[in-house]
Amino acid sequence: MNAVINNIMQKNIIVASPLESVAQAACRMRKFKIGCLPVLKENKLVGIITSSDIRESHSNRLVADVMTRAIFTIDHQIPIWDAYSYLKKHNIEHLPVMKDGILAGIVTKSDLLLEMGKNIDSLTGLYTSHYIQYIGKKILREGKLLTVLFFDLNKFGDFNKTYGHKMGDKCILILSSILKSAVHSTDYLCRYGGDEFLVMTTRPINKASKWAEETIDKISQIFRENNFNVQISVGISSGHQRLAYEEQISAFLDNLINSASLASSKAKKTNRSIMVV
Amino acid sequence: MDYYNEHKYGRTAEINIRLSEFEIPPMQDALLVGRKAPIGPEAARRMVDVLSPDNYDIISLKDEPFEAVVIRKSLLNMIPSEKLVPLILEEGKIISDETKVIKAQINISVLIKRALEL
Repeated sequence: MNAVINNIMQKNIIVASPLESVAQAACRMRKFKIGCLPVLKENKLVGIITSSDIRESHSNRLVADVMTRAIFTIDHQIPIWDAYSYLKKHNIEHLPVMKDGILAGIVTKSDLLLEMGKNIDSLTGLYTSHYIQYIGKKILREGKLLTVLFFDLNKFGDFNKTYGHKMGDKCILILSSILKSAVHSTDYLCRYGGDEFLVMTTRPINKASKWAEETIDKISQIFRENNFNVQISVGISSGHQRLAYEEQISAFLDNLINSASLASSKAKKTNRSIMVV
Repeated sequence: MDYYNEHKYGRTAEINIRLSEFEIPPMQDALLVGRKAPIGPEAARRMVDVLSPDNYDIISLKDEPFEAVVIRKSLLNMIPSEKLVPLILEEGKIISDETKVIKAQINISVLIKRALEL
C-alpha cells in the first residue's frame, strides 16, 4: 500500500455551516469526538473551526465569525511524510484533504504519527521500504543523482537455523547499529526486508563504493568479535534522469533498487563482498 | 374558609406591559463589536444587510478589544472614517471591553464660517 494521504484520511467528514452557532458546532464535535470541523458553504470549503476556536469564543457567535479563513489544505496523493512536514511547518493539527478541488477528507497529526509509526521497523527502529521509496522518488524528482546500496546477509536462513532466531535478531540489531553509525547525515537507511538493508545516497558511485568497502570491513570485524559466522554482500547501482511523470520516476527507482538487489545476489554467488552495476 | 384559601394560598399574576416603537435599524449610528462578544462581525453584517441594506459599512479592526465597527455610511460622508473611527474607539474603550457590543448615537454638526471678499 502506498503511504499517501488518500489511504489514511478520514473520508466520512463531519462539517459545519458558516451560519450555525458555535454552540451547535461544539455539540457536533462532542458527539462525534472530533477536534475540528471543515466549514462548507455551497459545498465549497470556506474555513475550518477547531476546538480551540470554540474555547475562545462566545457560544452564541456564528461559525463564520470564529472559523479560520486562511486554510491550509493538501492533495490526496501527497505522501504522509510530506503532509507531516507541512503540518509541522504551519503548526497545525488538522489538514483538509482535497481531490480535484473538492474536500475529500481530513487528516490529523495523530493519524499521521500513527501511520508513520507503522513504517518503522519494530526491531531496529529503522524506516521500512515505503519510506525509502518515498525518499528515492523525492531525490529523483529533484533531478539529483541517486545511488542505491543493497546490503544482504549471506545464508542468514542457515544462521537462524543453527543459532536460533533470537541470535538472528541480535545479529540484525548489531548490523543495523553499525549501518546507522556509518551512514552520512545526508544518507537514508532502511530495513528493506528480513536481512536486507538499503542505503540511499546522492554521493557518486565511486565514493559510495569506497564507503561500502569500509563499512563491510567494519561489519565483518564486529561479526567476528561476536562469533557470528555470517558474511554480507552489497550491490550498488546509481543513476539520475529528469523524468516528467510519477510513473516514470517510480519505474526508474524500482529499476535502480532491483539492479542493486540483483548485484548483491551476484556478489554472493561469486564470493565477493561488493558488486557495482 | 373561602377567604382563607383565597388570600393565604391563592396565586395571582401581575402583568406589566410597556409598548414602544422598535427602532429601525436598532443599532442607531454605530456598533462596536467586542472581540469576545456574543455576536461577531459576520452576524452584524447580516443583521444590517437585512434590516437596513446599503446604509452601513463594516470596518474590521486589528489589535483592538473591538473586532469591528459597524457605522452608518452617511456619517462617513461627513467625516472620513480614519478620523471618526479612532474617536469612537477611544471613547468606547473607556466604558466597555471585548465581551460587549456597544451601540453609539453620534450627532455631528458641521460648523462653517466663510468670509466673502466684497
